[in-house]
Order: sequence, then C-alpha cells, then structure tokens
Amino acid sequence: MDWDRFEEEVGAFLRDELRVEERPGPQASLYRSGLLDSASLVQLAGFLEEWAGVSIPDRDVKIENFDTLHAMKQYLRSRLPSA
Amino acid sequence: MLLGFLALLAFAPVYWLLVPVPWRQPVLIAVALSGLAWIDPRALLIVLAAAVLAYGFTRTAPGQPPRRRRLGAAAGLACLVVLFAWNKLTPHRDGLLPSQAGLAVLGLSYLVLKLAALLVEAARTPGFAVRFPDLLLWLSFLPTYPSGPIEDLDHFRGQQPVVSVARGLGAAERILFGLAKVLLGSHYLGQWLAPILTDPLAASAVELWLGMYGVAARFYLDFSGYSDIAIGLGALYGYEIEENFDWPFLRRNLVLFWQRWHMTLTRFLRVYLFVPVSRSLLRRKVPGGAAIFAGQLAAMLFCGLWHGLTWGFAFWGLTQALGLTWVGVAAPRLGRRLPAPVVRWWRTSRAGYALSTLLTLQYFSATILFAAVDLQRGVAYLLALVGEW
Repeated sequence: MDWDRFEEEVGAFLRDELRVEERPGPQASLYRSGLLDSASLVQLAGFLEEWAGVSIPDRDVKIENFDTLHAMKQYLRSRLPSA
Repeated sequence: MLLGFLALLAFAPVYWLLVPVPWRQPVLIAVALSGLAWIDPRALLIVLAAAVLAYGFTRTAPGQPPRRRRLGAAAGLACLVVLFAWNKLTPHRDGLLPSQAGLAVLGLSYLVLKLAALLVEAARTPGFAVRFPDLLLWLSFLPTYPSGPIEDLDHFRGQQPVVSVARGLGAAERILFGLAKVLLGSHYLGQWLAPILTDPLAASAVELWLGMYGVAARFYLDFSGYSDIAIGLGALYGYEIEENFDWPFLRRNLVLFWQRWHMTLTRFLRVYLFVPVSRSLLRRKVPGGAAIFAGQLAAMLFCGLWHGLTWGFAFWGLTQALGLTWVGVAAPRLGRRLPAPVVRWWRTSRAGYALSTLLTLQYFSATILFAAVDLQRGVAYLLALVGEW
C-alpha cells in the first residue's frame, strides 16, 4: 500500500474494471457523472479492501464514502488500525 | 387518504401560530397518533407496539454479544415479514394506488421497511442509539406515513421543525403540483387505461402502444404525486423530506433510471439487499457478473413482492434484475468487443443519448405491464402488441 500511488492505482482499477476512460480528479463526483452505481460500488469496495488491507463493513458501502478519490482516501485512512 | 392530507393542511396555520418551537415535536406526535387512530385504530396500535418493541431492542442490543444482536434482529425481521404478509394477503379495502388494492391497514408496507432498517442498524452499528420521541415521530409522521418517501432516520431526527413564509409558499406549490398529478393526471389516465388493460385483445394498435406508456406514466404520477404532497406537507410542518423522484424517464439506462425512481426505496434495496448479497458472494469468489446478478435479483424480487404478493410483481422484479445486470455487467463487456467509434457514438452523441433513453423507457414500460395487471394478461398484452405491429 503506497498512498502516493493511490490515485494512479484506483484510476487503473476504474479504467480496467469499471471502464472509466479518464482518471477523475480528486474531488470529481463519480456518482453524479454516472460512473458509480451499485454494481461498481461493491466491486470498488472489494478492490479498496485488498489495496488497503482493511475490512469494509457493508454498512459503510455507500456513495458518500466512495464518491470521489478524496472521499475514498479519507474513508480508508479512517479504517486503518492507527486511525 | 386525501382527506387526511387536507386535514393536515388545515391544521398547519394553528401549528405555526400557536405552537412554540420546543413544543412542536410533542404536538406533531399527538397529531400523528390522533390521525392514525382516525384513519384506522389498528394502525395506531401497530405503530405504538412497534415503536415500543423497536426502542426496547435499540436500548438492549448494544450491550449484547454480536450473535445475540443478530438473533434479536432476525426475530424482529421475521415478525415484520408476518405483519407484512398479513397486511398484503388480508383483503379489506380498496387502494388508491394499484399496489395498495386490498391492503388491510394503510401504510404498513412503509412502516415495515423503516422498522427493518432500524433493526439492522441497531444490530450492526456500534453505539447506535435513538430517543423514543424521535423514533415515534419518524414512524408515525403523517405526511410520509401512508406512501413514503421512506425517510432515513438520521436525516429526519436531526431536524428542527422551523417554518417560514418562503418555505410555506414552496410547500403549497409542491402540494398543488402533487394533487394535480394524482387527482387529474393519474385519475383520468387510470380511467382511460382500465378497458385496455382488462381486455387488451379488444384494443387497437394505437391504444395498445399508448396504453403501455400510459401505465408507466400512471405509476409515475401516482408515486411521485403522493411524494410531492408528502414533501410539501412535511415542509409545511418544518421538516425537509427527502426527494423521491428526479426525472427518471429522461435517464439513458436502467441503472440511472432506478437511481432516480422512488429513490428512498432504492436506497433501502441497495443498502439492505443488494450490497450484502453481492458482497457476500464476491467474498466467496463467485464470479463478479453472477454475484452482481444475484444481488440485483434479491433486491428487485423483494421490490416486486413488496409492491404486491403476486406472480406478476415477482416476474416484473426478475425483469428489472435482468435489465440492471445487462446495463451493469453485460453491456460493458459487449462494448469492449464493438469498434471504438461505435461505442464512442453511443456514449457521447445526442442521437445515442436519445436512442438509449427511448430504449430504457420502452423496457420499463413493457415490463411494468406485468405489475399493472398480472402475469397472464401482461403476456397477452405484449403478444397483442407484437401481433398488431
């Protein structure tokens, strides 16, 4: 897990698995732009669990936590043991 | 139900002028409970009993081990299933919406969903707590009690019931808009649709085509009209109620459509059915497409059966799950095999947008026939449509 490569690696997942052609900016809303739906949300949560080595409970799999790259980063940091 | 809404409208000036802000919640609870007693005394008893039991669970669950919390929530959910089935299968009264026909007690379907969400959150959220007055008002709040929107507890309980002239005017406009949808649009459309739906074979090709879109429009006018009235009445009493519809017929695929149709219900389906089912399967290494389909199937079958315990609603739920899986899983895979300019045209051109929006409307309108009538007549309708074409 390398936070400096977070945007790049999430961008690669979005491109390869969710077919998001352009990497979104840190504050760009994936939901409003129609790129994030229920199906992509659960797949993204699974990817982020593996990437960060944390467990994401079902109750946290909601748009607010994964809508932007910034929100994802903040959420994952809150799940780390030291947080 | 409309009479109840009008009574709420008439009481609003008294509420603004005579009830100080700190007294508004208790007064609203008293009004809500009196209103329920007037609509149906059984509704009052059920709401009170459910509120007391659910509150008891939220108080005791945090101190219990996870297994006991889950068992407690499961027992509560089983009781809700029984209550729901009794309400749907005991015919007592005519419904205002097609999905309300034959309900024993009005509003129980919505109450059951709120209680289910509460039980699950109390069992799985560390430190979950709720005040009894907040819980009771959330369950019984008259503007949303009979037909939603299904307010999120956290969104509802944090509000201070503040009213203002601007808010009141906005509320009045919203209520009028909702009444027009329900009393004019839906009512007359329903009258026109009745003979076509009863005997599709006797209808002309034009009537069949217009009737199919008319059914979709009627569902929209009914549900969104009552949501408008509820949102307006809520604002009149100082509460911001969540939006429920956002131009769904202008969306270009079924996923986007369902993100804007009955949004508070689809949030429930996503949070409590789709996410747990699909994630649980993904963790068991079930292939992504199959896990997503299973999640959509669980959510949309539930959605269908929640609206009506019939084969028609179940089949309609299946068609929605198939459509959602097509958009979310199969169509993107197909897109990878098609030439890039075709995919780009489909995704970015106005013609592609218009065509995909029309296809979405067509799919939803054709499949909702199974919910509007029944499985057999839905099939007969579509066959007649194809035959005439």
